[in-house]
Amino acid sequence: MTAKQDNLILAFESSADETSAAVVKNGHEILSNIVATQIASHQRFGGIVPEVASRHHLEWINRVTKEALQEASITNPAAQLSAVAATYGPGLVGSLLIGLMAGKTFAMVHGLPFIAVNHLAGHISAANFVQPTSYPAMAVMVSGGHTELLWMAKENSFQIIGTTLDDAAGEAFDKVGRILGLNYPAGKEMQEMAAKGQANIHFPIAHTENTFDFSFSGLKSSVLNYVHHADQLSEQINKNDVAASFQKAVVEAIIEKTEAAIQVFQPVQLLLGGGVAANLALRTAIEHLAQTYHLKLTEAPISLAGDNAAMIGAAAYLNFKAGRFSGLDLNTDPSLNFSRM
Amino acid sequence: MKILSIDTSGSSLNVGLLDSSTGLFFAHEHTKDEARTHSMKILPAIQALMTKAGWSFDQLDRIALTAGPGSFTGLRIGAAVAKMIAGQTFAELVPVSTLEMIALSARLSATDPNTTSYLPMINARNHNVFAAICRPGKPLDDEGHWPFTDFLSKAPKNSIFVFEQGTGDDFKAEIQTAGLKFIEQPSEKLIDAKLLAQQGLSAARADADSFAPRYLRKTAAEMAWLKKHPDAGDGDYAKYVSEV
Ligand SMILES: [Zn+2]
Repeated sequence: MTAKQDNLILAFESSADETSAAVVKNGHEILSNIVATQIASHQRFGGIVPEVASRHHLEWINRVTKEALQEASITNPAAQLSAVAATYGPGLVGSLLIGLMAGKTFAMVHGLPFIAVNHLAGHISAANFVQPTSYPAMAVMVSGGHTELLWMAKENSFQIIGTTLDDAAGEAFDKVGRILGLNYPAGKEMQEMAAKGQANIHFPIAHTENTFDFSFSGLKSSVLNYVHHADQLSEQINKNDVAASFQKAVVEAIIEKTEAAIQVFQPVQLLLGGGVAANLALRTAIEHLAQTYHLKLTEAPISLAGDNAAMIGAAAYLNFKAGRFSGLDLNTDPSLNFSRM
Repeated sequence: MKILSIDTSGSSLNVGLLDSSTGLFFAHEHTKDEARTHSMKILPAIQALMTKAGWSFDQLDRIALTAGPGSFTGLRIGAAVAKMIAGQTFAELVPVSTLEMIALSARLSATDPNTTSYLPMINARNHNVFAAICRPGKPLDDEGHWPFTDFLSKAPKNSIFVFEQGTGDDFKAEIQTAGLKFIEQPSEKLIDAKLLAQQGLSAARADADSFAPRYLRKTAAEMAWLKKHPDAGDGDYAKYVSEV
């Protein structure tokens, strides 16, 4: 057998309601990225039901695995793959378990090394599919479960600058969406409504003790109060205006904290990732901010902003290079996070 | 035939390797701290046994798995491992009822010649049980999730309840009042890994990729949703998930 020219990693992701397997080459090229989504199932309940999510993951895991291998033309995993990776946290424990057990078992059967990946590092590493990152960098991670400003002094090093004290940004979108009578998840529809409306209502942003931390639950409450107040007076509200005003407040909060952190930490590069990174208003605002401060910017492609295994493969490659492997006894860590700066 | 048996439905980890042509059998040896640690212990246990037997995964013919009922998380850990091994090798997945295995394992040590049927039982809280009627050699009867009292009224004469030690205290009085007996099994004896492998010889195989455990119980969220949507059918899982 000839030496492996390329590094091929099979990666698994199942931390929330997407079951995904992917094959990534040299950390930055996607050979396959199969994603099965359970959104239609959880829409029945208005949000993710963990036990249901876990059952779905188990039913789909073999199928996405086989499709990912087939699409990447992997016929002999032991010979063609360099390693197997899976998300081990943060996320829903029952969901994480399926991808983690599948990844560890695959590694055991084919005698491959196993790499455990932090889901947040995965989101940030989606940038590697666009271009290499320059350091020191600062990452803005916004999703349904997380809102974080992260410091990256060097490759594969992450420290928390700021985080949300209550709701994540994506969670706030879903909650306000519900107030406006939208289906879960509401991010995409909120964005469409916001584009048709005027940001003419003032929804205040909460002050946080640490300048770089976020808080979105007060914002959600003020939208709720606004809608209730109009209800009591039997006034019609313009939902598009509410969506536009809410979105503006969220984007402003993220930009304000990010700008403050840029001034203090002075990165050379910005990274934008996470499910909410698909929001165009946020993308435009981050692009403007990067321009103002002459920073290099990498935004996760919209198609890779949500949860997927390719980003886990990209992050796993960094661990592979650093020689960070895990044993078959590794457990999930649902509340896994980086340490504060 | 080379068979790997896996049971993670309860608190003990049961893993074994059986070569049916030679009778050679290796079992994972129980440790005191293995309850609720299946996700950490199962793969090192399988790997150690494979090394001991000198087998490669490509040599496995079958994987006998307790399919449920049992702890939902436990069932999924065993199923995820069994599905992936079967999906990546030539091995066939052979699911066996957890309740049937509890009954057959108890029969190994039972001595009462008058016992005609066993009533394997798993406590499902709120005075509910997963239970079935097992007449050895015949298919299981009435396997399901029951209010205990309803199940008790179905118990045949001379039948004997079997459950894990420490899980049946709420039911003992009712069982005795009904004139029936019970066996309390220590965790590590509840399911016999060798017997499970032997059952795997004759049990029907399943498609590993689409296999799902026999939970025997929908989630509370789904039951509430189905109540509100009586026309939605029996909740065919597959249609709610799609590739993007
Ligand atoms: Zn995510």
